[in-house]
Amino acid sequence: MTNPATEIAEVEAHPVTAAEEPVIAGKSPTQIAFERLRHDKVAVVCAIVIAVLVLASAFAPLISRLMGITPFVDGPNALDTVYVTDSYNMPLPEFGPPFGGLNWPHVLGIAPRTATDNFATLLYGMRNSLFISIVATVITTTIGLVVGLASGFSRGWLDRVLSFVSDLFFAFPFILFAIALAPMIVVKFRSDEDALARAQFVSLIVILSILSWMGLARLIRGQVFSLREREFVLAAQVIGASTPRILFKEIMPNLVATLVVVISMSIPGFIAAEVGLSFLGLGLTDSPSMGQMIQAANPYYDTYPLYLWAPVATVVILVLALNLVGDSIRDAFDPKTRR
Amino acid sequence: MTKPLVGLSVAGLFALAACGGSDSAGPDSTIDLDGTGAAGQDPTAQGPFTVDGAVEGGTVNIINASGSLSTSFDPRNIYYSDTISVFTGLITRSLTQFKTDPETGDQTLVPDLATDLGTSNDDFTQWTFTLKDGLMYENGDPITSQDIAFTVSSSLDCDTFTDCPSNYLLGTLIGSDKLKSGAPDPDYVSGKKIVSGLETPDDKTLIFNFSQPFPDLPAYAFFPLFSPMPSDDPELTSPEDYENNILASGPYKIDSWSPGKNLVLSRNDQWDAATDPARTQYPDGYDFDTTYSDPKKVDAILAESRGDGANSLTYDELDASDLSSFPADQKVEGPQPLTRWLAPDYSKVPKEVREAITWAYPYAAAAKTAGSIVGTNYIFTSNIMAPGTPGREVYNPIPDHEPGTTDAAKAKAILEESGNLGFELSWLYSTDDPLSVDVKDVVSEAYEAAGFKVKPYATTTTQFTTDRSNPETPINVISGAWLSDWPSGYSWIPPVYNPADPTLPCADQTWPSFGVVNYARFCEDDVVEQIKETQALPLEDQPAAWQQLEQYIQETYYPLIPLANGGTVQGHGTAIQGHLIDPTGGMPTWKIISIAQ
Repeated sequence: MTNPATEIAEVEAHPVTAAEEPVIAGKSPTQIAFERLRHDKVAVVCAIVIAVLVLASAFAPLISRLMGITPFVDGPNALDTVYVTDSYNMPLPEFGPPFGGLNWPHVLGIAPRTATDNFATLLYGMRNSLFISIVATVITTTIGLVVGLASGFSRGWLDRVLSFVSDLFFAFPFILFAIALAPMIVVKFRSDEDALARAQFVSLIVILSILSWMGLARLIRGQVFSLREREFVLAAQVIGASTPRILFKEIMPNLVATLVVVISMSIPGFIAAEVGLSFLGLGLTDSPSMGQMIQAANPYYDTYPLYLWAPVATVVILVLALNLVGDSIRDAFDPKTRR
Repeated sequence: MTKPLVGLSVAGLFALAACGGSDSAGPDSTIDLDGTGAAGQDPTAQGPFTVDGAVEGGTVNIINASGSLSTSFDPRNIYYSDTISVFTGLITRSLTQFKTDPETGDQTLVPDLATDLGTSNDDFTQWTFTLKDGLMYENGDPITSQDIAFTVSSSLDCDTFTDCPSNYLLGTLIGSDKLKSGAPDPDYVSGKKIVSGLETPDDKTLIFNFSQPFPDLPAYAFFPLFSPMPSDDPELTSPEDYENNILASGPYKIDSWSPGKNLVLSRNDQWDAATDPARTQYPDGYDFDTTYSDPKKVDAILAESRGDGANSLTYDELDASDLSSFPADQKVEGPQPLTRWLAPDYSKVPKEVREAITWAYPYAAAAKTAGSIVGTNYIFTSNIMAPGTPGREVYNPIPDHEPGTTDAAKAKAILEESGNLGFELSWLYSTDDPLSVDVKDVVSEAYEAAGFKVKPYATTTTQFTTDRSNPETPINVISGAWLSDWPSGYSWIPPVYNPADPTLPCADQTWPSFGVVNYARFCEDDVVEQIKETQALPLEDQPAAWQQLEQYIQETYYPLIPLANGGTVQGHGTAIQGHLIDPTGGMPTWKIISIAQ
């Protein structure tokens, strides 16, 4: 989409350059949708919030290094808990809340017991969450799309087999699967910490993605069912277009709206799921994670509220912003809504 | 009492110890370690016992979030610190008991059902106890020496009573082999016959005959397995049912009980204060509720002390996050006869490396990261036997190492000198316990700084104890701990340092994967021999001999690296009086509790 989606009126008002000559000025549904999005204040604000959070997560190591903070108990910049916590293992006043005031660079204070920096833990935790949810979304979308297209277009035994497989996966209880898999991963990679951390990362992505592609697959299959009977598809078949061409050139473009909506809704879902699993000790256990931080901070709700509310608020803001953007995208792509 | 701790993972241990209160990371301690004298005895103590200023009335509410009191209630099977404490303190009487000093919480061994602390022959192979007159169960039936003989004999069946509190009698009490695991003689199990080592010449006399000296019997005889059970009613006392039909002999009887949920006690009017030199009966009853889901809720009820909250207490540790805000005069701190240590695999980790670990281990940082309160429930030590053990004297196997200090340079120097630089240390941690994972990182960093290679080995909380006991697990540093059964070196040195089967020479030892406290798999023939000799010494010589033996083992072989002693911090409502910590088990001093009116 090199074409900026502009209204016809505007195009006429401006001098038209040689490079872009949208004289025809017809607009694809996608263009219209983005046009609508741009005028949706909620969507714009949320997009900015998301951009800030994503950038902060992407540059978490850099920010931590610049601020001289770390989410790890070992390694550079780590504070020694013996010297920065009091006899009850709470942070000393000079290291910020709950007994001291704001302390730069430990803007959100340090954790009781471990004396790791809360802001750094948040950044790294958010980074892990976002990474996991984005990868899981890509995998889910790919699987869902391929299965949906194949089963929707194939008519016959392939459709029946794929539908059965997706029903089978639907029958899998997600939490049980996670509970069963977590100790298996530990046993498999128990003698190597780094491999274990990587394995937990991968297994989390796998758990999240292989148990959530089915919804998308069904959605796509249904859409393909109706699309394949439409005139332009029939026409393509009549003139002898190959099946891949029909699938990817004729049908796929009509699914973009659906895909965008599903993707925008599934990322926050995956973030919430990752935080939930890590809170339960079934996800990340040896890497910074917002779920683990919330779990550790739970008993301090009255004595050190900031420690608990910082990760909770971050998860809420991130998920809420992503959901609102998702909503707006859905509305924008839906030709029936007029906002 | 050993069981819950032996069964606990290091993570569990830390969780258990995840509270307390004192200042900074220094080795100074707010708990008076010398004041925990459970050493004393008073064979002539007489009832009734009274506490100055205590008045009758009110019901004590015990509120816990730990789900405790969930283990067996059968006196033949009671071996957890909570049930031992509640039973011996309130419900059942044994041959002997501990008397609490209402001012200090110090414990003195005094007679209970017996008229004195027993008399023995010269080599401690025969003990004779005589029962007092006028002893009755809650239903008014008289208590006889046959009843106690029945309980003791029956408890030897560790296939039925699997927690096996009678383990000290197995192989020592004559005839105990009739009930040995695998093929116990059914007549003995059902109580038709009593093992030959127990004699009851009349209703008042009970004689124990041992195949080897057992000088510590009076201290062990406070266990519920030395309490009476009606020997003539096999229906009532069947292992399946007796838990629900317990006949109280102490000041309180059981009104209702549901395991792990609640226990309601009311006054036992058949209990005669004149025969009991240590128990009191001030409150009308006790109401245990162990179903609270949130420890912080328990703490809040006690701190606020509104309504019934004022009459409440908990024997859970106060939650670490509440310690700084909990009212100081409602907080009770006290010691536990608990020592934690590192047990490097004796055959795989050379002595120089063990010494280097002593310098390298991040004592304070690891304790704080685990949520322990240094100086209150994590008190650095250089001894193995805990404070309060008779004969214990502070010594240091590594003389210039101040307990609780870390010196990476010194550790590195030792490793370099002995050619062990880069020695690989491997230990267990639980991935699903955030505390365990954090501690693993802290310890790894400290070891690496001292020139070790590290290879932590992951497990899960549920698998921890199994993996720790399994000799196949590829780890070479194991965290161990021991909570003594009664205050004596007899309850420390043999379980901690003896090999799996002390009758075999060290070369022939096979290490079973369960039930051994000696995680280092330490075995030296001369030590095994000396343990046997010390067990046979006269009672008055034992305290010094155990201390000497510990010192010999630690200074000569240095198999265990002592870390810290335990302690506990509990809380109570404003009306509760007499809630101190019983140093023999780290539980409340039930025998002196009353409610201010």
